Amino acid sequence: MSERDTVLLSGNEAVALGAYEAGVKVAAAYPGTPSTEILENLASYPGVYCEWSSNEKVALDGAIGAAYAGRRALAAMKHVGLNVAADSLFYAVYTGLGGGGLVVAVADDPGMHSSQNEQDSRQYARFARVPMLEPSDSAEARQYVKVAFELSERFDTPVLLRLTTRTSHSRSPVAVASAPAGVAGRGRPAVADPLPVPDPHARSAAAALAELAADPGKYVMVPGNARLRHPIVEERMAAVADWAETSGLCRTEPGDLKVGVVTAGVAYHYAREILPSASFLKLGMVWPLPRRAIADFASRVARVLVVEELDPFLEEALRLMGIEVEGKRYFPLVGELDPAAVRRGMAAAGLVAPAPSPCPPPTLPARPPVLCPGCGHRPIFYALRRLGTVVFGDIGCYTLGALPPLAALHTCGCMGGGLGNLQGALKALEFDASDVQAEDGTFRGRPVAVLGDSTFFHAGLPALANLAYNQGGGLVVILDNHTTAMTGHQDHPGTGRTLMAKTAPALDPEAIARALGVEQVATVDAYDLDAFLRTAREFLASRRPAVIVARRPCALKTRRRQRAPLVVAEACNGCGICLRLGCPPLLRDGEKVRVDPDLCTGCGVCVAVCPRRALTTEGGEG
Amino acid sequence: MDKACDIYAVGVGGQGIMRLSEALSRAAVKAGLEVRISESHGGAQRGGVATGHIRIGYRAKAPVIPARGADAVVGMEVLEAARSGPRFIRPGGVFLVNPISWPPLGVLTGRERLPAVEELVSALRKVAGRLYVVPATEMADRLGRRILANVVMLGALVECAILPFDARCLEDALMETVPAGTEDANREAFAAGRAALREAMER
Repeated sequence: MSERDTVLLSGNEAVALGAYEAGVKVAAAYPGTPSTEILENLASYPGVYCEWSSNEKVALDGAIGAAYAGRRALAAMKHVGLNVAADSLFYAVYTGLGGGGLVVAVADDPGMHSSQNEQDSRQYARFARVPMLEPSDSAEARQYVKVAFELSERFDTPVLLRLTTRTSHSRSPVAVASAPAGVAGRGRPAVADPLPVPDPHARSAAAALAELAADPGKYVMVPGNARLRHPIVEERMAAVADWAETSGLCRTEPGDLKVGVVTAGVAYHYAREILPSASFLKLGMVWPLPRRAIADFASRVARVLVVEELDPFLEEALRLMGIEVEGKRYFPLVGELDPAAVRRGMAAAGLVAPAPSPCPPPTLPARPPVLCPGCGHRPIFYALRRLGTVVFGDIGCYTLGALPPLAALHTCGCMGGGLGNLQGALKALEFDASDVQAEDGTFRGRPVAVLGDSTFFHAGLPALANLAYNQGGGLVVILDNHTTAMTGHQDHPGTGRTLMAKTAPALDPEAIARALGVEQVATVDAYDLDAFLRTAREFLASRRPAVIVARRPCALKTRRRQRAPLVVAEACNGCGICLRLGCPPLLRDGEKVRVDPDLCTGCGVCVAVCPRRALTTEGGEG
Repeated sequence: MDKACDIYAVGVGGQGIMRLSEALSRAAVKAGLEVRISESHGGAQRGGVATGHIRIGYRAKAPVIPARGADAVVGMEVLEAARSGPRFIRPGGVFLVNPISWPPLGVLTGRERLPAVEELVSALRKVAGRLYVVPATEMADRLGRRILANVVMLGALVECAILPFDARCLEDALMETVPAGTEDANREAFAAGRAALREAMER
């Protein structure tokens, strides 16, 4: 196939294109920045089953199952998603796949653009004994997916494909046979009129499963079998390391022999830009390493510098090989690399002049993201602040409830974590000598937990079962906006729609809570502040497990104005209580408060908080 | 003409930084040039900062512009232009700024003070080789479509004579990215931006 047209693809779109071209049949993911667009885009190609799974572990188990059935399969997730799926990754390494290729795309987020940590997923490659490829741009992302499938099948192993925010979310040219009219991208394929690509395997899925069933020693990981599999895993990795020497994924770019730079991923481009004259060893496979190629490169240059984002992963591996290297001595261990950081490092190493002096950063008001106008999470956080509760939070848009002026979310650790935290905190409180909280008659200091609907289906279910069964006596608020909002509105088991655009029976959080043994379950309209406060007080007073589902569709998704914008009446005395909602259309204007009619959705939540009833819906049609 | 050109665009979510980047990068592809762009996702849609790194030509393949490396900075909002523009504008570079400010929440609620637009613009004049104030939002409002402020800015940018392709090429690329039925409005906004910059240069 000759490739004549050029399309600009993000790394994620390129992974989708590569997976499609490799004949992937089953792909599963849970949305997570910066990985989300891989599945969103792959679903636009014909002949691929794509699924938003309820979490990353379920996604990976599904992909492993498809590979067991002899088909090429892909799972995609963000770096912390791989923590959720790690258990599955480890068993798949022991069992292998039996012929069906399995690629796990994992997107790290150095600099934490949208994450709770900046763990380096390369450590999983070493930890779990999995080959890992790392592209540096979109063209490589597409190519490496195909190589990853071949590698997976050749060595009977899962293969990790590591991306980072800058490879996932930057666009660079990819050559295709025929470019589509208009813009390729989220929900649009990168080639015109794609046709289903046949899976390269002649075997039927049924035949593959029959082979699997005949080989329990390989697939039943009880200790007796697993003990026999472990040496096979270690031998396999040695064989992959040999293969890596001649794979073509490791590229030497000769230059000045005074400095040799060993690098991978997007850091390669930064280093190449800042030190174009040096010799380069660009690694496409970051685990296992081509030891002979590295040793050979190191022997030919006077000084070896490793430029890599986050952990000193390559640096330590090279040092263990007995190579004298410099790396994190000059380049930051923390945060995202960029050309500026690489230049600072190179300058500290005495290799380049420092950058032109930076302009002093001006002191300006910060602009954190905020809950949108009309967001149903806002009134709930306002109410929780009024109750004075300690709020165990979770991952999603609602984490923004931690920011002032709401400041009503007090922890955020991982998906589903808040519910378990709540249970433990409640049990710890039982050891307090006197129950201060009961004595003063308020709910100040009482712990509650909040989580979103998508998060509830992701990791909330086991935690809620535990809370109910072990009688935690806590209140859980499910902030149900009927979508996975933070990552850009993906469906989940509560929405009634799948990634393949099919309708499905939507799961009902209230019914699930009851089925898990929670007796007190209520539904409120998230805009109805009084109803929420009344219900929350009743449930908190009962000290038995309780769930409130606070429901409102995501304001960013509905986007249209629900009602006329509010107006401020003469009665406003500028007390500023409404400003504690932190709603962008409400602004201080001299001695009073003003409403920006362009931003106001007319949700009316502020009407309920104004003691003078000065915010009204009268006097205007939207 | 130097075929390499780095443009840093910054604003607030919803101001069309992504479409601006898309149009520039498609124009580069049309002109047969290498191009890489980097986008910010997520927070921008929720009132956060939106940025775009547009790197055209063969100077480099990194998706992020080096410190003080941008030939042009396009500031769609003056507070964000003032915050990160100076980090990227190269000595002698061109700075386009839309003289509007979107107050962040801390300002709306009266906890923080927003510097005056003029104050921020005059600080930027000191770091740029040339600075043009392009009232893109005001002009788009006059055309009846505020969301076309980014297209006004594109028109202004092409008149700065730093892009390695001509206005026709950029306009054609832009047309590939706009929703059907809005072509005329986009052309009008693009032309208005070009005229505004020519006028600013004469002053």
